[in-house]
Amino acid sequence: MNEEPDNTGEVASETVDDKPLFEQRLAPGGVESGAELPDQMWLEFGDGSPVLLAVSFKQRGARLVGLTAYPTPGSEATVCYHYVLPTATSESVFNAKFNTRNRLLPSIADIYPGAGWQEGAIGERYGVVFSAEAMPVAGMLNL
Amino acid sequence: MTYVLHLEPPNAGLPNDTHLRIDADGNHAVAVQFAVEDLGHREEDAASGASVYDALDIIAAQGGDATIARILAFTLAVERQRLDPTSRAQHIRLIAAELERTHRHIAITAAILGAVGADSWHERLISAGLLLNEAHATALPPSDAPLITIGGVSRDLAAPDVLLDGIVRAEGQLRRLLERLIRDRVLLTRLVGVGLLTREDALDYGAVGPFARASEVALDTRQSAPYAAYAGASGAAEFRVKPVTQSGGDVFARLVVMLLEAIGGLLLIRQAIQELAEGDLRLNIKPKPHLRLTAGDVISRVEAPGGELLCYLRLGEDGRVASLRWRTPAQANMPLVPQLLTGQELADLPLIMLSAYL
Repeated sequence: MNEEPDNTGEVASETVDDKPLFEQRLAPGGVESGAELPDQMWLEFGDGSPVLLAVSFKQRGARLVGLTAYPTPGSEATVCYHYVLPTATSESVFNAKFNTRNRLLPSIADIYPGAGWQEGAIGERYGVVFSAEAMPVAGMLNL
Repeated sequence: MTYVLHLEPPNAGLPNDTHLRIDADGNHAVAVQFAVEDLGHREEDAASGASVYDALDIIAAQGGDATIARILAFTLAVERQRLDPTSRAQHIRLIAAELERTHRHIAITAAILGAVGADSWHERLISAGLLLNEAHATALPPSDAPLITIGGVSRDLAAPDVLLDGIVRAEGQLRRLLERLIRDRVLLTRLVGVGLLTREDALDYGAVGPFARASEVALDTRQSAPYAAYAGASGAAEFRVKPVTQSGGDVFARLVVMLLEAIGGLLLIRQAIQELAEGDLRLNIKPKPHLRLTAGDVISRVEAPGGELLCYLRLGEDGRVASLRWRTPAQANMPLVPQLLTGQELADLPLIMLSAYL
């Protein structure tokens, strides 16, 4: 029995500052066969566009598990896209955060049809408009 | 004629008032769409700012048919902070989770059979369910405190032998029932081809659970991303799960998947009882006010009865819940429902909804 467990451990996380790992593991051409990834990774894209990332994940056979969101100051919101990629022994979840700007984000429903309903639910709850139009992609990782 | 079908948020993790608006022409649905009147999410709203212990109580109080799965997902998210539960707790958690799955699968298949007037099959399933209920209530009596808690479980199995006996008898009943049910031509005529979901659509839309597995999508979180006892965590015995799939993609295929999974769940429970680990029920962790949790984002995934359940937990600098979000199986399967219902006979709509775990 552990009398006094150390419960202050770091939660596995990764941000855009950890580019090398992300880029190395998700280099064009897909995840290397046999590559081991953490079971979950967190990526913050600021006010970039989720569309290119969605295209990239789709090409790599990733499954979109879902979208979640929470409000941020200034009546904006952060939308988190949860993707699952199979690894050599299990699965890895990539959690990509995008901030709305003027409550706008481009829709990824054309890429992942199941996203449409969840975009709608987030839109109604937080006032986010998921536009089908192309958005500036500044801040987007160069995949 | 327009019909409105209300969905229950506690069960599905949907906004507080979600309903389907169904336009019918004669006996057929010609247009189906969702409407949401109340955008609040009671549980998510209530948990914001709460301690993890209070959030656990809020989730438990919400109730619904995937309560164990939700509590398990939440505790797994918290326990990533070096709070691995004990081996005995892992076994008891698995028993509780598989009991929940088996109960729900039996209840839904019984409801489907009842809805098509297959009263004899309906009654036999109810009988198996009651047998299980009785053993369950003896072994894990209901309590105000959630069974699953951070670092372990709050109470032990009261009567493992009674539960084991009930499991074995219920399993026998289900096996005999399934063997005969799949040869019932009247039932086949009524359910085969109804609410057809192709494998391509299931994959494209990210469907989960028995709904997807009945369309040949071999996705089961217990196997694809094993967690807790399914991963042999904390020295628990190894519990292997092989996804149950069918190729029919219709209500009948979903019914068969659920019955096979109910039997599989009972086998896992039997193994967990027989190999029940000795030891403590929970970690001796610091009491509530002193439990230190690191701020950050974490997710966990479990296989709820209706399919993959995702819990997204954000902890603030004060170690309290900054936000708690769910992606429930219902939310994953919802986008497919309008196209699945459109063009179907009105009498078949409840069957399709039930078989999609909605």
